[in-house]
Formats: sequence, C-alpha cells, structure tokens
Amino acid sequence: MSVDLEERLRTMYAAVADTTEVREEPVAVGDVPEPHRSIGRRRAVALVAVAAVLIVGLVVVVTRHRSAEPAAPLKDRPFAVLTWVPNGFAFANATPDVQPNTGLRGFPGQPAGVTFAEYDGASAHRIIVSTARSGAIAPTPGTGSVSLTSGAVAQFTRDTEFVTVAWVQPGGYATSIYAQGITDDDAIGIANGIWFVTPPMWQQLTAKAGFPQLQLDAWHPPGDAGSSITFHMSGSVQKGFMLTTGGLGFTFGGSPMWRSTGPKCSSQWLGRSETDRRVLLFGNGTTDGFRVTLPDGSTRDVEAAAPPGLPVHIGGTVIDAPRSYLSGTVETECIGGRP
Amino acid sequence: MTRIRIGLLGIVVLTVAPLAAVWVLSRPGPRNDFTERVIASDHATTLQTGNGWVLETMQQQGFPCKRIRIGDRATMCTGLQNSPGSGDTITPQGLGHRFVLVAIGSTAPRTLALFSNRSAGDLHPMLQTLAGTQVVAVELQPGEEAWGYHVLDSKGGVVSNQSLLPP
Repeated sequence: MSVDLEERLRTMYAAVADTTEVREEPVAVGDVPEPHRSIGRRRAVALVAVAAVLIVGLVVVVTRHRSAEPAAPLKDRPFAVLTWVPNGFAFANATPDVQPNTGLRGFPGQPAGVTFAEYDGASAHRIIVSTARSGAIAPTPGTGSVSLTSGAVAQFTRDTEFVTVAWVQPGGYATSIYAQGITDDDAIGIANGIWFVTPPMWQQLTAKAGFPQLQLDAWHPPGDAGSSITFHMSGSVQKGFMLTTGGLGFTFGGSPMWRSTGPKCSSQWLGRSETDRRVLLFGNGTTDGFRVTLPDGSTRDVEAAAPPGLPVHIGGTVIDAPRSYLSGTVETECIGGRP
Repeated sequence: MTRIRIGLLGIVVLTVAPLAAVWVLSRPGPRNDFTERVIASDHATTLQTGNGWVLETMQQQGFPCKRIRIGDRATMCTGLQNSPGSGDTITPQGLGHRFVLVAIGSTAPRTLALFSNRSAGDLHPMLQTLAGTQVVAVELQPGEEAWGYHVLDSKGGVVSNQSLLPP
C-alpha cells in the first residue's frame, strides 16, 4: 500500500472516530428486560445451531449411504446410441426428441414414437440407427436372420447398396440399423453394440454436436464382488462408448467376441494382487448366471445382470487363488445362455 | 446508534475497498500466447492470411515448424512433422484473437469441419506444407465456443475426430 493511501486511510478513520458518538439507548416501557431477552436469543441461536448440525449430519449420512440412483429400465430408454462407430464415420445428426408416426426401416407401416441418430461417412455413406415403440410390431422378414448378443433374432437384408438389420429389443424398443458403406459384419457388430438411453441422457449426449466426453449409467454388477465394482459408460456420441471400471474398458459392437453368434462367456481378472482377486464374468443377453471353476476344481455359481441399456450380462466374484493361477483366465460357463 | 452504524459501515468499506482493489490488480490477465518477437530475417513462408494475422511455416534448428503471427509477435513455432494420419491441435489466443490450429500428417487433400456454437461443421480446406503435414488455422469469433472437429478426406470420410471441450 502506498504512503499516500495509508495516510488518507488514517485521516478517514480519524474523521470517522471523531464523528462517532457512543450513547446508551433508553429501555422502552414494556420491553423485555435485557438479561431475559439475551437468554431467549441465546436459546434461539442454540436451537438453530443444533438444528443446522442435525440437518448437515443427516445430509452427510444420507449422501454417503445412498446407493446409485436406480437405472432406468429398458422400456424408458427410447434412444439408441452406437457404442462402436466404424472407422470413417462420425455422429452427424439426430432427432432431438421422439417423433410421432414416421417410418422405421425394416418394419412395416408407420410405427409411433420414432427416434433416430445418423452417422456420416465417406461418399455420402451413412449409418442410421432408429427405434420406435415396439407394441405388437415385428420386423419385416429379411433375406436372412441373425441372433444378436441381446438374444433377439434380427431380420437382415442386404441389397447392392444398403444393409438393414431390424429387431425388437427384448423388453425394449423396435430397433433398426440402416446403413450404406459398411460390411455385413460391421452392421451386425453395430447392432450388437447398441446402448439404449433415456431422453435426459440423450439431451446430454447430443449437446454440443455430440463432442462432450461423458461418464454415465453408474452400475454395480451382482455377485460377491459386485458392490466393490462400479461400471460406467464412458465416451462420446462422436467416437463411441466403452463400459469402464477400474481402468479397464470393454467394447461390444467392435469386439470380435460379440460378432459371432452362439454362447459367449468370458472372464477378466479385475485385480491380480495379494489383496485383490476380483474377477469379472461376461455373457450374452440370455445369460442368467455363471458357473466358475475354482482352483481346487470345485465350482461356484455367480448371478448375472445386464448393465443399464446394454445387451450383455455381467457378474463379479472373488476367487481366492494362488499367484500362479492369476496369469490365466478363469474357466467360466454361462448358465441359461443360448445353447 | 445510527452514527455508530454509519461509522462501522465506513470502517468496513474503507477496509474492504483497498483489499478488493489489491485482489483485482493481482488477478492474472487474459492468456497471451503471442509472446515471441518476430525477427525480420527468419525466412518464414506465409501459408494462410486472416484478419490481421498470418499462419507461417519456417525452419527452426533444422526442423519445420508452424506459428501464427500478429504484427511483430508470434506464437511459439511448434513442430510440423506429423506421421501419416496423426494429428495435433493447439488453441492459441492473445492480442484479441483466438484460434484453433489443426495439423495432420497427409499428402492427400484434407478438409477441416469445425463444430461450435456458431458453426455446424463449416468446412476449411487444409493447406499442404512441404513437410508432408497439412495445417489450417480457424479464427474463432467473439463468444464462439469450439466443440470439436472432423478432418475429412476428399470423399467426406472422417479421418480424425477430436473434441475441443474440456474433459
């Protein structure tokens, strides 16, 4: 602070002091005597303080012990997002909301409640993923059919330029992929990697042209290790999404594991240390549970459940295994999966 | 009582005002990446000209580099030798200008499609350099927030897809 400013402040403080007069105010007749009023005020202050502490404590307790918001069921997720975007394509356009009564490729008539997202590529090629309220509609028979990871049987049609994959997601929406400039395998890969989201999530995902990198749909798998494992869907509409946990990321549509039909069971060590022997178990959408072979040859059954809006089933367990066992995969069998 | 209140108010004001002034003056100013003084004899090649700025390439210690110059000030000259398909992005700002500067290794024609709150994929042809890397600078308008960009090949296929939003 400069000398001038300090001097000016001193002068002003002195002036304020000179003009300040301290005088006792007379007590008005009928006023509560000062000591009682003071005690009353102190009590009020104490009560308010106690109430504030209680409220803050309650908020902390509730926040700490609150489990993740229950994820919306598939029927409340009318928007379809590609988790795997093929090379050369990027998110271009989407319906901001559910559209009434428009066509849905691969389905007859004009189903209600249609949504779509478009991804554009070279030479004006595009991939359009659409959904509609399923009701009683079924896809138009295609030139062939294919079993998807979710367990749905999709109608598949390929002409010289376009490929259409149409199916009704179990418990969810009528869905179709209509694409140009991709292979049949890619079209099935895309169909196997659809993530269904709610309207608020869709607004969040498609804001700013789909560029925000987001982490949504926190979820714990079932199983004895499940409560210690939190999955999220991480990524952007522009580039696609992975199911992530503990530094690991899992893809669906682009992964060869999910491209072929037939039973798909796999395991992945989440921890490989002395104190962390958690294992993740993966199966397709018809998997009810997993049967894991333990190091001593015995088996353990682990429950399976689907992450919100995804076609796969996951479980988590802890295997008390010797160090040598950790270098391999855990022998896992899907229970209730497709034969 | 009123005098006491006025007096106390005066003391508070007189105490807070100098502190507020010190806080305001000590805050960092707007970022300025145009800190390099341009020397007249540096043999820079102009690649792109904008409103009061130029995008230049030059050699620095034997390696090609790119910079944006405004008058006698420029950004640091950053590398210009991207391997095929690999890109980099910098967002220099200062002297009243803000830019998105994108480079990608390619000898085939490339175009930048910029997405922002003012641009729904406006196209900017990228400029070929002798180093086998293409570059383009896009000046952002006041209040414009860049969201991301695509680098497109000659058929409109997406070669690179980058977010410019903070994670």
